[in-house]
Amino acid sequence: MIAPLEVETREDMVIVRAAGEIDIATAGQLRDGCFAAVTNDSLGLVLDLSRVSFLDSSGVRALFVIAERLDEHRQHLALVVPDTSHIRRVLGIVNIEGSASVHDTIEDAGARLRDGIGRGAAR
Amino acid sequence: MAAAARLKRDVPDPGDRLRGWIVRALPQGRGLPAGAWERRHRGLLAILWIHVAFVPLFGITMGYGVGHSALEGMLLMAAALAAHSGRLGRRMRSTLCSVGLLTASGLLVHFSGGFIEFHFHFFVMIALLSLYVDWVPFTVAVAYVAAHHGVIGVLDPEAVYNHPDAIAQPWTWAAIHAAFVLAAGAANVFTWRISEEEALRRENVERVTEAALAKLPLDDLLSELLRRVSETVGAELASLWLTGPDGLKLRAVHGAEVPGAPPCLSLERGLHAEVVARAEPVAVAEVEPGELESELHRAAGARALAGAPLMVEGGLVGVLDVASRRPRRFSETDLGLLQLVADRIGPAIDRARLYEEEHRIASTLQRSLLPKRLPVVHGVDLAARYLPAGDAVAVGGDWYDAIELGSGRLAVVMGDVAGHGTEAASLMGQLRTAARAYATEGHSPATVATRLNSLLAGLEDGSMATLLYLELDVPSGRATLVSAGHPPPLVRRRGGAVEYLETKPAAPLGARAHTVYAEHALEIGAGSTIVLYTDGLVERPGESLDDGLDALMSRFGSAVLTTAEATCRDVLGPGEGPLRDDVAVLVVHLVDVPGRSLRGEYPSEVTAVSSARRDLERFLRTAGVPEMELQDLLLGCAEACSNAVQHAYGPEGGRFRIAAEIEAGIVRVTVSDDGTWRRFNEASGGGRGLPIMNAIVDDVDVRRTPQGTRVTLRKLVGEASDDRAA
Repeated sequence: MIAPLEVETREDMVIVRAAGEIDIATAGQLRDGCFAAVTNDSLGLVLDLSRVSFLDSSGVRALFVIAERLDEHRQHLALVVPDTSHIRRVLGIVNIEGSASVHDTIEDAGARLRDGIGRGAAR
Repeated sequence: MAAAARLKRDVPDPGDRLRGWIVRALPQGRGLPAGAWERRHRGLLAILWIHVAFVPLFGITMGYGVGHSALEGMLLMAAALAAHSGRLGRRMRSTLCSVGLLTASGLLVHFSGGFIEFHFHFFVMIALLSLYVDWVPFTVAVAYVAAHHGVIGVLDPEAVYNHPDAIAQPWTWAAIHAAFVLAAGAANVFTWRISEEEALRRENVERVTEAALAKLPLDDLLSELLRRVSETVGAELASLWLTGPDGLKLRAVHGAEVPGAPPCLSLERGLHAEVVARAEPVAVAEVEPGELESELHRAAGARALAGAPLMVEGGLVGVLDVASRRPRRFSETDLGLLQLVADRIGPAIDRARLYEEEHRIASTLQRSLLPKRLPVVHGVDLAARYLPAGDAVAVGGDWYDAIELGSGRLAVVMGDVAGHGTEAASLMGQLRTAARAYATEGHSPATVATRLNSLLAGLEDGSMATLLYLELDVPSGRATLVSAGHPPPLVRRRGGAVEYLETKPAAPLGARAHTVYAEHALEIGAGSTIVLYTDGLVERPGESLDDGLDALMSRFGSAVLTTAEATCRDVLGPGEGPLRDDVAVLVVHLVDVPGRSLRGEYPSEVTAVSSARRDLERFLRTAGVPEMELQDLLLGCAEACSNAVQHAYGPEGGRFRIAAEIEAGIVRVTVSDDGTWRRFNEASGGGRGLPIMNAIVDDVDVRRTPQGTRVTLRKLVGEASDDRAA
């Protein structure tokens, strides 16, 4: 259901690319995979959901948990979700913007992480 | 700023200023057009030839010898012949003719014995020579007179002068003569200068009012006019600003590069604000770079500015300006010219705005009259697209519709009203409504076409429209087709065979009062896809209709048929520039296995949720539920299933069931289990499932009983959800 996460560690951030469907069966993999990927010295995590075709409340819960954990370490979660994706609608309903930022592209998300230095996570 | 730094403050020294003043006061000697010079030169030569004949005769009459007179005549003839020579330059020929004419004056004075009256001849010649509008022959002539009088006056005073004073002091009198000749010259120069100015003004006006420019496209017209106005006024920069919500916005510029979005200009202060406030031309002779409001002008290093308002029907629509990199005074003539160009640009801009407005209105009207959504009919996947033409005058008139007739029957309609613009669009709206009314009243396809024809013919304004009307019995795959002059629909059968359906088209609607529309029965069959379209799809520039039909067939044949929506996109092909004509496309896909409801049972395990979701997805897709609404239902179902898996049973497990059906545009999904509901553990971070469900479906009903829990989701889909919104 969910493809293995692709992890790319850059100088100041970690990019995780997820693909497939995130639901009650797979949300745990996403959460654990992200925890494992984030390094201590990075500004935060860019989680690319562009190729995720389905996200339910279990997936949403995982995103909130990841954001919370990062925030404890003064790190930020930036999500990449295409404008046309149904996932945008779900994230809007649960008001994810209070915990993580949502962007069209990885570049935008990366820029948000760098701009956010000193301001902490968007809470 | 780099451009501003390059500018040095420009202080002219007094010598330069005087020189400049003299140069400006003198005629520029810009020369004549070739034709005008030729005519004037011929006239002056004719006068010279008259002198060639007349001067020797006068010499003989005055008692000079034939030989002497003839010799002087030969001198004139030599000058005249040389001035004819095509091998010499224009200026040389002018000079030779001038020298010849003044020599004739000299000879007349000489033969008359220095009579005062014959000196008048000089003045006539000087005036004539100014016709050349050229400094060289003019200067040579004046110098020649002074030299001739001085030299001959000394050698033979009585040949030049006829009074004792002059004969005694030939150089003094030569100077007096030369002074008068110079004065005559100056008087002529002055006239020459004035007429030159007039000519220049006329020429400049002609340059900017040239009628041929009107044929240019707006952007080319603007750049040409800006170039010409900046050249004629002698300013490096010219720019055009149009009024908008945030002050002025740059529309075109000459003499500077503007990368990126056009800059805006506030109207709080500065020259542009003054032009707008006074609605008349304004000039500033010297401005410091820091005082400039406009970034464009600061970057270009402008130091002097002039602007004129663009007025259309008494209203101000923009400002045209010119700017110079050196302080300078713009003359009244410059401002007049600037205003003239502004007056020319104003209506052109206005026309372009009207044109864009017309395009916007026509395409908005057209879109508003087309169906917002297509109905959801079980067993059919429908999609349609309308693309307006890029050209305002070509928008409007194409239409499509899909009408649910009940008992699994569906009518799909594609039509095209002849003509364009808002009129065609509104007629299209009437026809679409009428077709819908006739169809829902239960008339057969032929009757619908016949009634539409009577309706249109009855309007008596000569309007015509083509129509393709296809009635489809979805469960059996049988179809009935009527065509009123419309291009044939394309069908792809289950095995992949593609063909144009034979339509035997009758006359277009409105062509004749009584047309018999025949029905053609067809077998479409499950798994087939039909494409209805208007001629804009197959009539492409530089292609024959047959080529267009072949190209459509190959695009359709090679398309990977997934959803009707994707097929629509594939059939339209890659867009190449603005369309010449409207294009409408409607794709009807008869889904393979039309089941009317879904039932499924799954083990209460987390991995089963996605199986349930997948089964529901297949069912909803088959039913043609639009993508966004389908995704909402899948999410709602997943939430309900997840709850059943998490909360219904203990570790021993159990089963859960889903059921789904569609009726009258409402999808109902039921998820049920046989367990007992255990409360959410809020601390685990759950509790978002129910809010999500409530947000994405229209109704969530949760019933908990000791025997189990049943969650029912209801959602309006497709056309039905739009009816509710309206």
